[in-house]
Amino acid sequence: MRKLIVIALLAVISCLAMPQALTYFVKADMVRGAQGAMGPVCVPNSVFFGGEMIVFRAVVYDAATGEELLFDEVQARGITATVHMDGREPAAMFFPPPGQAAEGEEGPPPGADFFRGPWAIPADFPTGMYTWHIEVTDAAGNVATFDPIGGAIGLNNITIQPAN
Amino acid sequence: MLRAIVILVTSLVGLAAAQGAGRLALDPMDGTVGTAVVATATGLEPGKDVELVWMDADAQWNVGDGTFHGVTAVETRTVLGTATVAADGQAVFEFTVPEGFGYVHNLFVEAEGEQLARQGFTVAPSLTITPTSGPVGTPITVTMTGVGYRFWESVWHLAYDGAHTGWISAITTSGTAVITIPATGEVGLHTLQVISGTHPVPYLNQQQSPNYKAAVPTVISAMFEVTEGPAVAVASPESQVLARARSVSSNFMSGPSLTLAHGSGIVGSPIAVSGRGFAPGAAIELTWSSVTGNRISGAGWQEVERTLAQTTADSEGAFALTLDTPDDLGGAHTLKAVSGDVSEDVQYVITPSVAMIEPQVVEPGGDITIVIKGVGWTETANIYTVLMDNGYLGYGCGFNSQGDVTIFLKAPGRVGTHYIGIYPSIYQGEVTSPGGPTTPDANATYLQLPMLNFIDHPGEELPAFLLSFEVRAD
Repeated sequence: MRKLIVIALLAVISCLAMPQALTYFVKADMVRGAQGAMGPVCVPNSVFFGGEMIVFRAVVYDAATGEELLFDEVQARGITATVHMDGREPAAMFFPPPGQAAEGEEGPPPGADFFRGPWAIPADFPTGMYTWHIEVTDAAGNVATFDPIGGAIGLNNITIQPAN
Repeated sequence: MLRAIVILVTSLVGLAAAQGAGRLALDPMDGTVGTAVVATATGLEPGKDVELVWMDADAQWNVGDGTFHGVTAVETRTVLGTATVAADGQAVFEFTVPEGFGYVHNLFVEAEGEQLARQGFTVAPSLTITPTSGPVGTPITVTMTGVGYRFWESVWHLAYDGAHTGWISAITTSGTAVITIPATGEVGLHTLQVISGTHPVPYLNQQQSPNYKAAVPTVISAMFEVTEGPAVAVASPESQVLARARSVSSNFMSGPSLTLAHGSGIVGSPIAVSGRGFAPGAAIELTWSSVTGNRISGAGWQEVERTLAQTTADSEGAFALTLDTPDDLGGAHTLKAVSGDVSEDVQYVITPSVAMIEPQVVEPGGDITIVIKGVGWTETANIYTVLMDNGYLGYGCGFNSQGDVTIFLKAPGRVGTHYIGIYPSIYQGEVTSPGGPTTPDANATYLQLPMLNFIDHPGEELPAFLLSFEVRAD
C-alpha cells in the first residue's frame, strides 16, 4: 500500500514538473502612428516624442501547427492581447475584422491582419526609458507572452522624448 | 466606427494612467555631466520620506576564449538625494549629473521601494581638450564624457581636420574617455570634432535618424592651435610597452616546480627561468606552445609545441637559465619543463612592442617601414590599426605572420615631423549590445576601428604606441 502511495505521489510530482506545452507563439513590434507623427509613420521605431502615437502590433501563431491565427480563429478561441508597459495601466489591443477599409475611413489594408494597440503619448507624459511586453490569453485560459530582447533588464525598449 | 471608438478608449486609458498621483519635473531636462539640476516632485503624500533614484548601468565587454561577443550590461541604481514631502505634497531635490554613461536616464521618486513619480533626463556627451595650443607633436588630451553603452550610443568618432582618427569608446570606463593624440599639421588652427555613429565611419546626419535625441548634439568640436617651435619628440618605443607581469610559478608547495621571473614581456625580453624538484642531473626539455594559422585561408589554425631549450638539473634537482622571449604571437603561451614523467608548466604572455620607424628621416614620398611585434591572434588582438597624422590609414594583422606586423608606407609630401599612432582594435565577432539590432550587419558595427581610448579595449590589455619620423626635402 505504502509503495502504491509513493508511486502515486511520484507520478503527481512528475506531472507537475513537466513543462506546459506552449499554446501560442507571439510576434510583436511597435511602429509610429499617424497621430502627431514627427517622423515616418508605420515604420518600426523605439524612440517617440510626447504627443506622438505608438502602435503596438502583434501576430499570434498556433504553436503546435505554426498557423497564423486570423480574425475568425481569434474570435473562435476568444483570444485577447494586452500591452503591458511600465508607467501605464495594461491596455487591451484589438483585432480588426478583415476586409478593405471603407473609403475615407481609417483601417487596415487587406492582408494586414493582426492585433494592434495604439497609444497616444500624452504631451506631458514622463520622458525616459520604458519596458513593455504583450500578453496573449484565450478563453481556455492559455497564456503566451512576447518579451522584447533586453526587456528583462529594462534596456532601451521604448524611449520617450520631450514633446517639441 | 467601432474601431475608432476602440482606438479612442485605448488612448484615453493610456492618458488616464499617465496622470498618476506623483509628477516629477526636472530643470533642466538635459545637460552634460556636472550639470546642476533641480528635481521637483508634486502630488505626493505629505510627510512621507522619499528618495530620488538615478538609473544608470554597469556595462562590460563580453569576451570568450579568443572570441568577441559585444557588450552586456545590467542596470544600476543610485540614490541622489532624500527628502520629506512638504504639506503641499511637494519634494524638491537638487543634484549634479553624476559621471557615467550618456543619453537617457530614468529618475524615480520612491518611497519604501514604491515608484511614486518618474521622469527622464538626457545626459548629453561633451568634449574638452587640453592644452589648446602648442607646437607640432604636443600631446592633446581629449576628454569625452557622457558616451553611451547601448548599441547606437556607444560609438563616437574623432575627426582631426576632417580626417577620421578613430573610435572613442567608454564601455568599461563608465561613459568617460580620456585619450591623447599628438598635435599635427601646419602652424595654425585645427578642428577636432566628434560625431557619433555605430558604423565603420561617422553617421553624419544623426538629426534625421530614427534614434535621434534632440538633447544629444550631432557634432561637438574644439579647436587646437599649432604654434611655431620645435616638434615635440615622442617617447622611446621601449617606454611605451606594458609593464611586465609579476613572477609566475607552477607550484608554490614542495615538489617539482617551474618559475619565471616575469609572467609577461615583449619579444626579445629576457625570461629568467628556474626549476626545482627534478631528479639530480636529469635532462630537462623546455617547450613552448603557440598557435599557427589564420582566419582567411580556410585551413584554420592549430596549437603547436616546440622545444625552446634543453638544460640539466644540478645535484639538487634545480636549474636556472635565461631565455629570450620568442618572436611569436602576442597573448598567452605555455612554457613547459619536461623530464621523464615530471612535467611542470606556466603561462607566459607576450605583449606587443614596436621599433622605431625606419628611416627616421625620409624624402617626400619616400619609403618608411613600421614594425610591430607580439601582435596576437584572438578576435580582439590579431590586428593593430595605424594612423598617420591623426588620420586612420588601415590595419595590419599578425596572425598569419606569428605576431610580426611589418608595414610599408610612403611618407607624406609635407616637410616636417609626422606622427604614426598605433592602436588596438576589435577585428571581428558578434557586435550585439543592449538596444542593438538583433542581426547587426556591415553597416551596424564598430569593428576594425582604432580604439583611441585603448584602456577600454576588450579582452587582452593592449598598449597603444606613438612614433614619429621627419620628412626633409633634400
